[in-house]
Parts: sequence; C-alpha cells; structure tokens
Amino acid sequence: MISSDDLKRQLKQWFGFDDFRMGQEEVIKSILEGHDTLGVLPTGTGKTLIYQYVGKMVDGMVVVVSPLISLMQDQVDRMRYLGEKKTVAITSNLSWVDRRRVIKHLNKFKYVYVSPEMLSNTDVLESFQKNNISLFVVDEAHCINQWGPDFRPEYLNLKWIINVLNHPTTLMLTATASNDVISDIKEKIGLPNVDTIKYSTNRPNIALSVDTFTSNEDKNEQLLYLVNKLVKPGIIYFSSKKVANAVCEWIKEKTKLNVEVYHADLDADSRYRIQHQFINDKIDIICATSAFGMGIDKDNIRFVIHYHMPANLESYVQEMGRAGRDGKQSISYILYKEKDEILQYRFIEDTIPSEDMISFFYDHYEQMKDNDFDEKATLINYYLQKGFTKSEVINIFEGRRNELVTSLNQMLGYVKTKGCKREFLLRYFNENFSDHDENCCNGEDTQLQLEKMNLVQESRSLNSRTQNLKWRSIIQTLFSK
Amino acid sequence: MIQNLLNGKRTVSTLFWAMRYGLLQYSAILKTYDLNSINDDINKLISDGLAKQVDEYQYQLTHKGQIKKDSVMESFYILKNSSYQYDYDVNEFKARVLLAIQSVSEYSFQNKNYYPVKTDMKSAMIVKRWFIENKTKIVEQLKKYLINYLAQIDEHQADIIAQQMIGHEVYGMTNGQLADSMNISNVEAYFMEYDGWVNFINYIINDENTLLHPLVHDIRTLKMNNHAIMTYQQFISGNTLNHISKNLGVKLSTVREHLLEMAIWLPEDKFPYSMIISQDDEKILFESFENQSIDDWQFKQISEKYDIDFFEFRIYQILRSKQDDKQ
Repeated sequence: MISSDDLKRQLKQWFGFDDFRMGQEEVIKSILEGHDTLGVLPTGTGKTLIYQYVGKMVDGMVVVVSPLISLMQDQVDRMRYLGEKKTVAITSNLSWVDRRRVIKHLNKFKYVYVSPEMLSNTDVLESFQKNNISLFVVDEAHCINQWGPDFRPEYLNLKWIINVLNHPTTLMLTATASNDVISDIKEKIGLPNVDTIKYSTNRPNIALSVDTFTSNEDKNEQLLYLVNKLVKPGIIYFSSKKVANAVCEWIKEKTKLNVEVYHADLDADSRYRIQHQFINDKIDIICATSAFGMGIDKDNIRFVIHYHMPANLESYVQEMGRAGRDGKQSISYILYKEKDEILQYRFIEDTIPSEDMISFFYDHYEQMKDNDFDEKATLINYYLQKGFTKSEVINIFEGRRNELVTSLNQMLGYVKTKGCKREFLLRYFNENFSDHDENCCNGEDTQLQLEKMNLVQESRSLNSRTQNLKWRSIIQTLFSK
Repeated sequence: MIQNLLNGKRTVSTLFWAMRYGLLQYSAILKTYDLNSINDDINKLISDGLAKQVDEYQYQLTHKGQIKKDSVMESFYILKNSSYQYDYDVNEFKARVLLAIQSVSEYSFQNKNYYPVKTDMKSAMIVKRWFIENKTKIVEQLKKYLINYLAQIDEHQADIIAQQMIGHEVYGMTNGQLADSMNISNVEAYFMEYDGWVNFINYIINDENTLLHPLVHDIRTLKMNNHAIMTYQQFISGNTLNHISKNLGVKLSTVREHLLEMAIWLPEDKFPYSMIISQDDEKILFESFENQSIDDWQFKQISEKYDIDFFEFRIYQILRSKQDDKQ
C-alpha cells in the first residue's frame, strides 16, 4: 500500500499542489488498490486530477466514457493544456478518416475519451480490446440514471462493455447522487464489489437565493438589477436558446456590460473565442444553456443565475456549482415566475415518446425501418432492437415520465419552500443540515446581505467593450520581439 | 432550393434552378452559416407586413417590403467574391491560418502551454509540419508576410482580418462581436470576413513568396465534382452513355446527372450539345416551346407525342438558357 506521504510528494511533483482536495486521495488510493470505485464528490473537487494522477501511476491506458460529446473536446484540450499530449476523443464529431486514424494508432494514446455510442461500435470496441486498459472511467455517472436530451441508451450497455474489456478497474464519478441514484448506478453497472466514497454535496461558499415573481417584466427588472449590482463574472442559465439570445441582446442594450451567448448553435470558431475571452475575464456574463461550462475550468465565477428553473435538483447542483470554485463567497439565484414549470413539463412531453407513438412505431416498423429516425424514434428503435415488446416499452417510458415528473416536483419543492433552502437540497441527497445562518440562503425569511458578503461590484464591468483595433497594432501585439 | 444551394447541396435539380435564377455563383457560400433561424425571420417579415405567403414554398414581398428591401440594399454589404469556377473552403483555411499565426505567436513568447485553435486533424498536421519546416526564422517571416499583405489591401478589410487573429493572450472577435463593433448585421460581417479570406487565399496562391503555400494547396477546389468531370471527358472522347456507365462502374442515371451538371457549369461552347440532341429533335423542341418562357416548360407537353426523353429535354433547356443569357 502506498503511503499518504508518497502520494502527496507525487502530487507536488506532478501538479504543484501541496494538498489533495476533498476526497481525491481516498478515491485514488481505492483505485490503486484495484477496487472498483464510485466517487461522489462535490462540484469543483477536481475530478479530472483523479484519473490523470492514476494515469501517471499505471502502465496502461485510461479510458474515459463521457455522455456529453460537445464537452469532450474541451476536456481533451484541457488535458493537453495540462501537458498530457497523448490524449484524444473518439466521438461522432470525428470525421471518418480521423476516426480510422485514431483507432489504428490507439496504442499511441494514454488518455482516451469516448462517447458511449462510439464504444458500442464493433471496430472501436475491438481496438480497445487489443490494448491494455488500466482504468475505465465512467464520468458523470448519474447520467446512467438520468433521462434528458443527453441521455443515451448506450449507457445501459456499459455493464456488457466492461465485461468485454476484461473488467479493468472501473471508476464512476459524479457530483450528484442521492442514495437511490447510487444504488441505481451500481445495479446498472453490474459490478459485484464497488467501494462507494461519498462526500457532502454542500457548497458552503455559495449562498442560495430563490426570487419569485408574478410577471416576466418583474423578473427581467430583477435580472437587470442583479447583473448590474453583482460582482462579475457570472453565468445566466436558460432552458431555451431563443430566450438566451433575446435576453443577452436586451442586457447589451440596457447596460455597458460585455455579455455573450454560449450554446449549441455557435460555430466552433465563436465557441473557442467566447470560452477563452470568458476564462480570461474579457466577458462579464455568459448567457448559456445547460451544456455550457462542464468542460471549462474557471474558478472565479461569482454568480450563477437561473433564468429558468432547472429540470431537477441534480442539474441545479451541477450548474450552480460552477460558481466559487476558488472557495470565495459566491451566490446562486433562481428567478422563478409562477408557472415557469410548465416549460419543463413540456420538455418532458417532448422528450419521451407517447404510448401512441410507440404503438405506431411497433405496428408500422416494416414500412418505416429505412427512414431516418428522429430522436424519439431512435430511442424506441433501440428497445425494439433489444427485443423488448411493445407493452414493455410503453411501461418503461411511462416509468421514465413519472420519474421525471417526480424530479421536477422536487425541484419545484425547493423553489417554493419557505424553510431553509440548503436543508431542503441536502435532504434530497440524504444529508442533514441545520446550520442555517444569514449567509446561507433566503429561506427562513432571511435577507441575504450582498454588501456584507462582498458580492457587490465596485466598478461597472471587467472590461469595456471590445475596441476596434487597427491591424498594425494587432500584429505588433501578436508577436513578441 | 435556395437554402440548399447556399448550403452547398448540389443536386442537379438545385443547380438547374440556380442557373435559371442566375444564382449559380453563390453555391455553397453559406455552407457553414447557421440558417436555422430562417423560418423565424420569414415569420417576422410577414408579421411586420413586409412579405406574404403565396403557398407552402413561396413568399412574396409586399409593396412596403419592396421599398424596405430597396432601402436596405442601398447600404447592405453583398458578397463580392463569388465565383463560377472555384469553391473556397474558407472555414478550413481560416482555422488553419489562425492556428499557424497562434502557434508562431505563442512561440515568439516562448509559451508551450496554450489551447490551440480548433481544426480537424489534417489541418493540425499540416500546420505542425509547416511550423517545424520553417521554425528557424518563422516569427520574423510570418510577421513580415502578414504586414506585407495587410498593407496592400483596403485598410478596413485589413482591420477586419487582423481583428480575427488569435495568438498569445489574444482571442480576436467572433462574427457577432465584429458585427456589433461595426454596427452591421451578422450576415454582412460574415460576407466581409468571407471576402477578406478569399482575397487572402488568392493572394497566397499567386504570391512568389511561398511561405504559406502549404496551408492552401487543397483550399481552392473546382466547383464541378471530379466524377462528373471524368464522365464528361469520356463523353467528349466519343464513348456512349452505356459505355461510360460500364467503364466507370456507375448507373446510367448517374452518367446522365453528371452530364447535366457539367452542362450547367460549362459555357455553351464547351459542352457538346449536338452529341445529345439531334438536329431533328432540336427542331421539335424548338417548335414545341416556341412562345413559352423556359421556366414554364413542361416535359409532358412533348413526352407523349415524341420519342424524346427527359434527359434530352433538360439538356435542351440548359442550352436555351445559355443562349438566352447571351442575348
């Protein structure tokens, strides 16, 4: 067994840190002892460091399965930036040629990120089989259980895949898992002995506020007040790209702040620039949909505002957990207008195939099978191909719908509770909390004091809006003499 | 059809109608531009009383809309670099040249840890090889190259190109930021950028200084697809359609589509129309459609009476379009 001192010495040498963050050491030890491990560590703990560290200790490859393709390339860029040049991602975003090239030279890589559906491809899987895998990581493991636009039925295949790969040591990582979710993850991953290392979900340096409105005008007014008043930088989350665009334009019009949108419609070029402008404090506020930020590492975000309430408490904790990674005081707001949840109920209806649709698909499969399937049809088809009967599939989706509605109701419970918000949140993750104070949340009739918490912005903006520079001066800045 | 054309989807039918509307040179110019919001934009025009819907696929400007269009057009920046001959992979070039500038910039600051500009692997490899081969004097050389180029083009365009450059602690402007800073629409900013990059590509290709040649060799390509060119070459050297089909291992219908595509792209005298339409058939076709506008011709007007197939009919339609254009 390796001593804590040895582990720390290596940490200093490789990463320049004196100490591990909460949970890191325990999880690393468990893996190095060869245990399959489920790590539930709060947002901002530095989960990447865990498998990067282990990667340096072992001979074989580290394979990371991650559900969010759009963020995988960010993670690869980050690993490379951290000096791990032998890192690659295999996703459907790769061109066919690039994919062939990577698969052929897979043994040249140390860290390989792969999306679940790519791992279900025979050629990809066979190529992994030929390599020595020292650690198999399932990132965002709660997605095994969660259902949403990013849900992939292929995650359910992981049990089989781990077996085919000869059961390498497996690490499951998540920031948010209630006891129910933990047992669900364990059941679906199907490994007999899993060490669970669970730390509190609580982020004490993030104050929690829920503000309720009766009209959109009031909500917007409060938003404008907050973006002017709060210390920047910050993120505003939206459930819809359209609203994100509109509100972003509106804030630009009403303030002198640097505000940009960031969501799936952006091209790669804009995405790159905005991400780096934001990381380098050139942008005050990002208006984002929920896909944003999971790949980026920015530790001085002071506020996260939810313009629309999230679909469940897991997403909420993930998103607001972007704030205050540096440990300094930060704040999370949910701006709730009565009946906002209707939007979320509609999302559920839009994501889950109805009974009629399932019946129609099963009854007309022969006529339809050569067509391109939309998202819902692809889902139904997945189950059909696995040999599920029509009524089984109807039951599965009915069950899913109920789960989603239950999760949404929990979220709504948090929004509406008059009691301590943090207590409510942590109770959901099976934790006790009874230390409510003036910096905790705006439940229990508490008025949060932004000034006292140092959350009020002195100057107006991090940077004045981008100036039009002349080309000669740009060329001079680009190259050092 | 127009959306397909701008996106670069080149079915024969899209190309044919693009030729009829005189839009061929705009093919693929918006390949990477996000056209998702187009329906919202159309609805906005309708609700503002600027346009009305004719049927499922057609919209018409109202009188108010026409006036608005004329006033917008007066100052609106329209793409200048449209070409009948070449496709420019502007996005790939841009990513490549930005990566090249970034890597040299970071190198000049002796910084090895940075997030490289996103490109595909091929482009990353090309830039890497280029960087290694030129490493010794690369900072001086590239800086000089850029200054030489930017100094001899329009000052405003030079600023636009430079504002997009990425390097050590420089992240440049997005299309949206560029548009905001000039107080113009995103599409106009996109066109300005596009023109700027195409000019730069052409400059590099024709420049005696070969420093940036490796970055552009596959960026400018012919619009006509290679298979169609092969079919065309076999055809003008005397092969029958059946022979070509066998020689190239493609379906007869594909051979016909290739020839239609070539006829659309090539000037009238470069395409052997008489090898497809006999003089007798040409006479029949001429007389059948004598007083009709080409857009209104219907194949069924002749298909039952004469032994002329759709392929000949379409080829003749293309021929007549080319002749009309000359008048």
